Amino acid sequence: MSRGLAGLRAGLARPAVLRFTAHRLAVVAAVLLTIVLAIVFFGPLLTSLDPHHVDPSQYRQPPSSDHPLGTDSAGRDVLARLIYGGRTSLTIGISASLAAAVLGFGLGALAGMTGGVVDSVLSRIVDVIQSFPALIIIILLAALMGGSMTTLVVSMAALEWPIAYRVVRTTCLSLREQDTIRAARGFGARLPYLLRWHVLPEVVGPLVVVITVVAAVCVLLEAALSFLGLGLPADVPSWGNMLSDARSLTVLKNMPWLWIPPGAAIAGTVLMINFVGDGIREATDPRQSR
Amino acid sequence: MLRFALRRLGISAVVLLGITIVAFAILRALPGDPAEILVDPMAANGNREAAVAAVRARLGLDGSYPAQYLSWLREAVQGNLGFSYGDGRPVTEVLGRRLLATCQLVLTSLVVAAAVATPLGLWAARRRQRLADYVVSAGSLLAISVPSFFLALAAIYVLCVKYSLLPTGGAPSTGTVGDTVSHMVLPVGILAFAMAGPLVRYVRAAAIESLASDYVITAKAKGVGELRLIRSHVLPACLPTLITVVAAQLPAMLGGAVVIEQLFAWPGLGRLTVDSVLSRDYPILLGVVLLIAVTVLLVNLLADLLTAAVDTRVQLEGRAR
Repeated sequence: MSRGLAGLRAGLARPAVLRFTAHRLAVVAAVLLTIVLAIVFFGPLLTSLDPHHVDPSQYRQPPSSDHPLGTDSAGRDVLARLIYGGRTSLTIGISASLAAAVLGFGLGALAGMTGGVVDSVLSRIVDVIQSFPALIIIILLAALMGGSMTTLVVSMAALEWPIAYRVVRTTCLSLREQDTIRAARGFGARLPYLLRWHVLPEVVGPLVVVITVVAAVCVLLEAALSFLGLGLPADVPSWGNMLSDARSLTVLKNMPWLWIPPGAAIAGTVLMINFVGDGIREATDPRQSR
Repeated sequence: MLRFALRRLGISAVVLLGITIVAFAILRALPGDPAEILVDPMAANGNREAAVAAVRARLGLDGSYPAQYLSWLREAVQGNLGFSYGDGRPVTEVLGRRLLATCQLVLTSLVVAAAVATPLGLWAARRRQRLADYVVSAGSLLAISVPSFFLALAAIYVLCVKYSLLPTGGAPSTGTVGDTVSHMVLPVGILAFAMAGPLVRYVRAAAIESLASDYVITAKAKGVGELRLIRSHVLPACLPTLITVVAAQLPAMLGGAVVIEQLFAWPGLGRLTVDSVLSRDYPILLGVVLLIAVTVLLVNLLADLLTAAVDTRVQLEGRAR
């Protein structure tokens, strides 16, 4: 029985994979994104680049054979900071979006399956969170708790879970009244079982899309925050921190190697995440197959 | 309609109260004592402690937190949000001027974004799965993905530094039309570009749904022309979506304005927020949070009422919520 179900599920999953690969742009984006992730997370293991090595004699030098992307205001290698900075930015984006998805799934399922007061209270909280500019709240929280990576991830997760919450809650509300769930309940199934075998398969597609959207948003939030000088400490390599150098007109005017690479890295990575998300959305959304 | 509006207003008031409590708690928990910052570190050695205590008492920071909150609330209801720690001006006066500058920026961007995004979204929907659709869709994704400050830096680099066509920042000062426009082009253009991204996507989706519906097929069968079809059937069907998305995007837009105002030295609420965080100006920060909350809640209420007015399918009395 369980093998039959698993086989059926695999059979249902295959068209989704096929539909995704039919979306050529999304496939290209997925490949590029994998390459970026590989460079950012495994690159440092293969080279001896040091993003913290300060060399005052190499103050803001243009690209050369020693420093392919030049050096910054402390004489640090820009290429090294770009790779390690990507590690910081993407770690924040990925962990914050995963945390937000888990939180949103848990609370959304709770609200959708139990309903009543729990649902109204949670939904009102979601209204409040969503009606506030996340950036301003994170600025306050970062000032309050100090701009560490943990602070940023926690505050981003705390502010971005409502998207996942809404998706899961809506699905649960419609599932709750269906005969399959009633039957399972009749057989004595408890909430964890229902979540694992009935809710999760239903929401996994939309939830993955939400994770990509939130990851993109979080990478942009970190960049904006650090760019303003209110996020991570200035010596931590991150794409936003690297860009904050360009707030000076001298750098902007004469030293494009200091601000174009990190800016292009953020824009390109976020664009690829969004393309992949769009591909998954089209592959899993049942309304698309019309 | 009236009952619905009143009910929503009541809920909004409760939400607002909750927001001020949370904001007050966060601000009081911020490290750094404003009284310490205000008193000159070199001031009369022995008496510095006393001076700090006096300032603390003058600012009303010596009571317990709940007592401080209640006294703030009592004054706030009467329209007095306290005085800036920095220069002692009334918070309402400071906020008023900054709000005007931000509104000028955000509302103009909003109008520009809607005016650009609506036709683009309709066009993409009409040419679905053809080149125009792919270009518009990819463009909207680009607008969502490129950080506004990077775009702003690139624009400043090209337009202001290289070709000195536009000023690099600041508010319009001389008051002439040309001066105002040249100061607003870049910040408005960049905010509008970021805002247009999501708008195009939602308009396109709504238009595709409308184009496939029975009333459009009927209208086509009756021989209604292309332009008239879009204007009197598809566009009205997209309006509720447009209104909802604009309202939902407002918080993100105010967040984006923080960065843009900082970059272009625009004297709005965003810059005020950043400056006040750095100088621990609690009354100003609390005022900013309150102002944003009120604005967002009012806009959401307005959007709901507008949606109900333009969408014949929504019937307020029967709506289960």
